[in-house]
Amino acid sequence: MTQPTQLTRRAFLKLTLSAGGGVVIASYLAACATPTPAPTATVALPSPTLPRPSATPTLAPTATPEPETLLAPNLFVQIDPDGQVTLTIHRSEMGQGVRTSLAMILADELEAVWDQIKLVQAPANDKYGSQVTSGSGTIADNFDQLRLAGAAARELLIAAAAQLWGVPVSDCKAEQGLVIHTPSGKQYGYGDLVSTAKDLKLSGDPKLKDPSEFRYIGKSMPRVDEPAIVRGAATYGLDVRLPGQLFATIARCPVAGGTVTSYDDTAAKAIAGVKQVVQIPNGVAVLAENTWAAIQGRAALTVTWDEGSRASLSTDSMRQSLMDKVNKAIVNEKPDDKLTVLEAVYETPVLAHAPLEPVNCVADVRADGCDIWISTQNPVGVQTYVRNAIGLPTEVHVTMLGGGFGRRLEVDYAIEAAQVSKAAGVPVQVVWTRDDDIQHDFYRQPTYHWLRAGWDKQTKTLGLWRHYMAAPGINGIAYHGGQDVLQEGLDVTYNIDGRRTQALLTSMPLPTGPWRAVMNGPNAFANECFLDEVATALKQDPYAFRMSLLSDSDRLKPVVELAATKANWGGDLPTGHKQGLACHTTYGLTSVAMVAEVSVTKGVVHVHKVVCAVDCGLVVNPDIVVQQMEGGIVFGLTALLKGEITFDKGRVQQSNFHDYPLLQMSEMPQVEVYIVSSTRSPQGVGEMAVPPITPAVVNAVFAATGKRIRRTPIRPEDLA
Amino acid sequence: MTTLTLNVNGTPYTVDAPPDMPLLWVLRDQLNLTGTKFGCGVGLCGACTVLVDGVTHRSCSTPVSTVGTGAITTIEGLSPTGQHAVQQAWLFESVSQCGYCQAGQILTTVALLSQTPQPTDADIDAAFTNTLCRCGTYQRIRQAVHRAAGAV
Repeated sequence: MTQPTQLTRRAFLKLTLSAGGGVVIASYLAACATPTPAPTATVALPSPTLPRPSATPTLAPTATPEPETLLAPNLFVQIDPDGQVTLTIHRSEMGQGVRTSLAMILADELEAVWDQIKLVQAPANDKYGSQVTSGSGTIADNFDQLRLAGAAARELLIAAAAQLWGVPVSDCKAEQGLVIHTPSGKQYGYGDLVSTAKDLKLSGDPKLKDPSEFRYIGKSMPRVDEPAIVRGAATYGLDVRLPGQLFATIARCPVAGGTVTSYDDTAAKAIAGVKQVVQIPNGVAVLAENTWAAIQGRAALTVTWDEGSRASLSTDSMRQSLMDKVNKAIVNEKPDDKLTVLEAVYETPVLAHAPLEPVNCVADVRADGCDIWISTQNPVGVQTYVRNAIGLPTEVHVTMLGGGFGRRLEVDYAIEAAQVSKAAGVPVQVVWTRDDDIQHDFYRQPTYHWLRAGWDKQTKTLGLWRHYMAAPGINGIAYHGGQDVLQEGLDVTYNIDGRRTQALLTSMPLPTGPWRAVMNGPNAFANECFLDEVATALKQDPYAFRMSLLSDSDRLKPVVELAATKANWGGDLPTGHKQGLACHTTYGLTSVAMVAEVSVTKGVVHVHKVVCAVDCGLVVNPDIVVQQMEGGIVFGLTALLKGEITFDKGRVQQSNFHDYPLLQMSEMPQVEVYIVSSTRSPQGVGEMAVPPITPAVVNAVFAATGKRIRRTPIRPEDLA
Repeated sequence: MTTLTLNVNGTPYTVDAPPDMPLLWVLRDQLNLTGTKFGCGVGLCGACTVLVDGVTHRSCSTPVSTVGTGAITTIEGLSPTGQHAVQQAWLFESVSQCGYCQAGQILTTVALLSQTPQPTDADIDAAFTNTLCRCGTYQRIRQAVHRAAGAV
């Protein structure tokens, strides 16, 4: 691959050796080709014939040669007689770059030419192994097996060439779509070897490349989907168009779980374009020729609801349950009077996911079976639950996702769409408006934390650390979790004697689901801010304090040092700017530290800069790591600075971006990311920037104002 | 229902739509131009941004009857091969994550640069008000705007 001579500031990433000192600077390349300014296109577009539905999303495989002429030694690699390499991606692309990184892993071992690869998105099928895209686990889960898959194809091609030439395998090598006989230089293209290779079998596991031979892994290969994205040609769930498809919206009870008592669709059916109204367990669906008519039709429905048991749900009642649970549990906590003790309560609210593409699903239910097209993080989950709901064999096709964040692990919106299509007898796209998406989410649960620390009155040595935390578990359809979920990130890895934590599972009628980083966010907020409170009480610098409490064997320690060093911790800052530090290891796998530079003016928090250090093991695509740190920071800042979801009488009180706002361009800090060089097996990054950003900023706010923020989002009265 | 002729990406289209139907849904559901996205329906996110005579419009809040003979540019109309300077800047800076908001971000940039060829960061902040990215690509969008402006 040729290397352009120009480096952008963003493309210049710094790696630091985690031990042994020194800084190794490596450059990574943003794109293979240096773009040249192009004139505005003046191409006349051909006259279209209208309407022009596309029968299948662009991610579906195009026509392929007959199976018996292909080399397809496993589910992930296919080579055609003409040399076309097709790779199957079995995890969902939601902006975290897995279609690129998984392709890189396969292509590297295979020695495929990067620019000539075709990708196919796997439909739901158990044979691929887990297709659940969650837990920041895609690369960690698949690194080894996809290397083996690519290597297996490579070795079969080499064996085929050796056989055809009558030479030893050891005299042959694979390089960029060619097998080369090293002594003579003669070569075969992969395509020419397919008919021989497909009949060969490897005798054992293929040999993997030495990491020093990686061609793509470790480089910032450009995201494969970006060219389609910038042309508006990427197909998300909401873009799917089947022949004969209707568009539908569903009227649902404003209280979760409520059911239809009766409805009147006379006015709805009178709306131009409305074709059908059908009832499903979750509500009443209006089907129309276009989305607008479906929205208008739904607005014209009259529905009487049985609100059910969740009608009493309120923010205050939830908070009270959590508070009562914690207060009851800490009744027997009696601090030793040899210790000076500090206590604090921290709280976080209910949050919605709000992916920019509201959830939606296309379902085509026929007498013999069902096809689903969907932006989902959980294709087999969708397949299973839809099949069970409608009693028919179900195929699931996965599109690009306009954001996931955990919302698209759930299967509710697929079940609904299948039920609508089955009742109506037509293919249907069920569209959720933003109001639907905010009001019928599976939310991040609210939390209530009590922390206590104690230190010896004379020596000031910490000898007590308590963190009790109450929250409901995860109680969705496909997703359930209890104590184990609450315990994520609850304990710290600091060397503090007398450390005890307790997760208090508190049931409440709130529909909940996995939200980016899950309980690591609230737990890190409480831990890292309370630790700062202890540092302040002990008159210790927050950075020095952490370094004194972290073991040298804790991966987090050099990450903290790296962030503080790159942020020039304690150095000169513009007037009114202060720094705050926080760190967290998520799932025990990836460690992240951040220094936030903040000023507070007239009760408004300005986050100027975030310096971020991350150890995620071996890096497959450095720029994707940087992207996920940038994105996780924004996601966490939105939760810290912006909205919350509140309930009254069982109803969500927010409905759109005016009362559930997201961070804006003008509020984006400057972000610098430093990746620790590591040969540890690759770990994830998708969620890992979310836990540290909130406490880093809150700690900076304290430094700037002397005010402790102990609940999110920050309110003006907290800074008054 | 009204019969209207719309000029979209240089091509005339005849559509039948209620006068108050937002342009967004005419584009997506009647003309199958799905590059323009639905994010909020109330003009607060910018995913539905199109240009009409070079000026940004939130198509979710633009009744189709108000467009008249205005020249509508959607993301598909910038360049069929992605060669527009702004698209190239987007690729060079590797802006997109999920990509769902980026058509609106790109068209907002096209409009900004046509009026302010060398925008300051403050100009960018103002132009991108309520042009949301849930994935948080703002830093790279800003870099790409500067790159496309030739200021880098």
